[in-house]
Parts: sequence; structure tokens; C-alpha cells
Amino acid sequence: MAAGGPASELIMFIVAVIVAGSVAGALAYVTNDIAHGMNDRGAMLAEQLRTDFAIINDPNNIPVSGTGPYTYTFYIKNIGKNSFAFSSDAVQVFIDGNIVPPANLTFTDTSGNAITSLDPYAVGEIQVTLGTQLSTGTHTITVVLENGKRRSLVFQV
Amino acid sequence: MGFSVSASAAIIFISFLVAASTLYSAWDNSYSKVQAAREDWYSLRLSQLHFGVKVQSLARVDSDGDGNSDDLEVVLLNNGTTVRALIDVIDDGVYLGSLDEGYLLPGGNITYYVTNALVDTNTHTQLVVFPNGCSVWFKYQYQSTAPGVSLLASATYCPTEVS
Repeated sequence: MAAGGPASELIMFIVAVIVAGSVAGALAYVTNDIAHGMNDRGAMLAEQLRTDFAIINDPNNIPVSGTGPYTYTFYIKNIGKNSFAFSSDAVQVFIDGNIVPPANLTFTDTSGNAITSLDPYAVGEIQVTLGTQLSTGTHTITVVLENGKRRSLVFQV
Repeated sequence: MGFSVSASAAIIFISFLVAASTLYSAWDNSYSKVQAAREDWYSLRLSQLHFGVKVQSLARVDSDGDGNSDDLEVVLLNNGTTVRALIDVIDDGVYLGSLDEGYLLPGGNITYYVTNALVDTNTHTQLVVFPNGCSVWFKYQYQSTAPGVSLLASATYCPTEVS
């Protein structure tokens, strides 16, 4: 019920419009946030679909060097369409389910130079240093990239 | 009071419309990005499924002209779909190098040479990896009779997760 007079009616009108405007503003802010989230999620999913790699070693013959600690060399080929980060911060390596500490991993190209990313079609090397030699038989290496892509190789020592 | 209700209702309805159009546009953008990436994913998988390269023949020749027949000549035959012949060669587990032979068409051959090989009586294995991750693996042994090397076993496979 109007308090009486055109001034108070005008004030009530303005307040009502301001309240509606602030609700609309809050809605716009939240919608914008959701829209950015959807775009980011779509881009992340697209990037994950385009990234792929293979562990291309001869499963019967993994190069090993050293007499303790032992260094095994694994070749990683980028078979996807995107470059991915190739360093101990970005890539995790598991041997038979046990994680290899990042300090025991070296990431190089096939000429031995240290690299931090792997381009499409390129081959990189991961040198895995283990304190004890792998026992004779089959083992599994799992490599996990920064975006969660994981690939395994069953090999025989 | 009557007009303020209508005005605020109008403002809120208009903001719902604007919100809906923003969300639709974000969804559409995201959906088309994911669909395009999915096309790439499918084409990689199809290329792997229809991969059919195998070893046609091996020979021990002198391809670098140094007077020694210690170069391994490998001829590959494509029984599957067209692949890019940008190959990586791994011999006895060790990465040797990569070669760009263009494209390998269905029914086509590519030939490459591994020069200055150690010719002994042991069995050796070699792996040729193609850009889609698929590989041709073969086991060979040098011999004194022509063609100088015999193919003992071979396999063609693509990277799969073993469960």
C-alpha cells in the first residue's frame, strides 16, 4: 500500500527496479562463470582426445645400462596431434605399479639432449634408473602424461 | 506499485533470456570443439585398425659401397590402408633413427637399409614403427648363403592396453 504521495511511490518503484537489476546482474555473473567453465571443459576434453602416445620399445629387448643402479631406456613416440610436456614435472612413470621417483627419470631426445616437450611424430627417451635390476620375466611400465593420458607396455627382461 | 512489479518482472525475464543465450553459445562452442577432436580420435583408431604392413623380404647387400656386404636391406609390403611412411627403426632394442619415405599406398613397398651391421650368427630383432604407433617386428639371422639373411619370425601389431 503506497505510503501516500508520488515521491514515495517513485522511491518504491526505483527500489524495486534496483532489486530486479541486481538479481539480473548476479544472474549474468553466474552465467558468465558457467559459460567459461563449459568452454574450458570442452577445450580440455578436445585436447585430451587429440593427445596420444605409444611406448615403442621392442618388448623382448629393453636397453639397459649400468651394473647397479640400472638404467632402462624407454622410447615414447607422440602419435597424436598435440605436443605434450615431457619432463619429470609433467610425466609420471610406474614400473609394475610402483611409482618411479622423478629424480630417477631423465627425459631426452634420441640424441641424448634434454627436452621438455615432445612434438607430434617425435620420439623421446625416458631413462628410468632403478636401484635393483628387474627380475627375469614380464614387467609392466605405465607412463602417465600431464593431462591424465596413460599408456602401458608389457615387456620381458 | 503495480508498474514496479511489471518492470522488475520484465528485467528478470530479459536476464533469463540473455543467460540462456550465453549458455547455449558456450555449449555449442564446446560441443563443436569436442566433436572435431573426436573426428581426429576416430581417424587414428581407424588407421590403427586397418594397418597391414608386413616384411616382404630381407637381403644382405652392399648399399653404402664400402666393399662389405654388411648392409641389411628390408622391403616392407602394405596389405592395409595408406600410411605415412615416416618410420622409426629400432634394432635389438636400440633406437637407430627415423626415415621419411613419403606415403606407403595399399600394395606398395618401401625399402630401407641398415648400414654397417654386425654380421654374426646370433638372432636379431628389428622393429619398424609408423606414425600411428603401429609396428612391424621381425626376427632375423645372417647366413652365408644368398640372400645373406633369413627371416625367422615376424609380427605386425598396434599399441593396445593389456588388461
